[in-house]
Amino acid sequence: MSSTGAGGGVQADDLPLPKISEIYKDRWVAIVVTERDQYSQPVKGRVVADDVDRYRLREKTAKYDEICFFYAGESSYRLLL
Amino acid sequence: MTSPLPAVERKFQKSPTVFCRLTGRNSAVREYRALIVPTAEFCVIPKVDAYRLGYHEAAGADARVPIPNTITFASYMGYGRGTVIKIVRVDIGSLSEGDVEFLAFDPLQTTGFDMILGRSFLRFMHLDLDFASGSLRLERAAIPQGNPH
Repeated sequence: MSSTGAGGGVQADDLPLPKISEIYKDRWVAIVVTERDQYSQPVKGRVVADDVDRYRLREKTAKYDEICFFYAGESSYRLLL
Repeated sequence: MTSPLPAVERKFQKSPTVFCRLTGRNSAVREYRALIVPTAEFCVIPKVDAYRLGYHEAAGADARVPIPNTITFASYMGYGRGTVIKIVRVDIGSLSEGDVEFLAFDPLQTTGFDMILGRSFLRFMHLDLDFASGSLRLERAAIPQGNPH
């Protein structure tokens, strides 16, 4: 697991989203999107921060004017919404 | 007459999701993998993100002094309260909508979703969800003027 500093101290590589989900499984990640598909959906990105906690991740990424957040993988619990 | 271009077609496994880009009052941009929930009356983002997008009033929704646009809602968790804000612009693929109502409220982290895409956005859309094949299609719908739905 990488340890990205506040605002993204580690210069990560561009990675496909499935790879990011594999590497950062069960963590919240913040990425700078580097490639989109025909529907403008992100397909590749550079991870600038990750954390198990959504709110700590926000502190790490406060300086970014544009950033993409998602949970890597799917919740291991059954979803009831 | 040509049919409208689909905004998004995606495959999904368990839950129908789509990436949404939100532009806030301060021109900051936040993008999320949103869970599509047609039964939710509002789109939802965490309060911390509403704050980062320039809606500072949403961060104080728990204050004793009532904040304008704070509503009470019912969910499977019981009653809750949140502040309704208008996101300046929402983009999904080639679709773009302005002044979309969002509820600033914190979805449980255990769900794995930051954002819920509810009817305050979906009411402008035609949505096909096919759980048998695990595919979704979202495109703009022509809504007659004055349709309250």
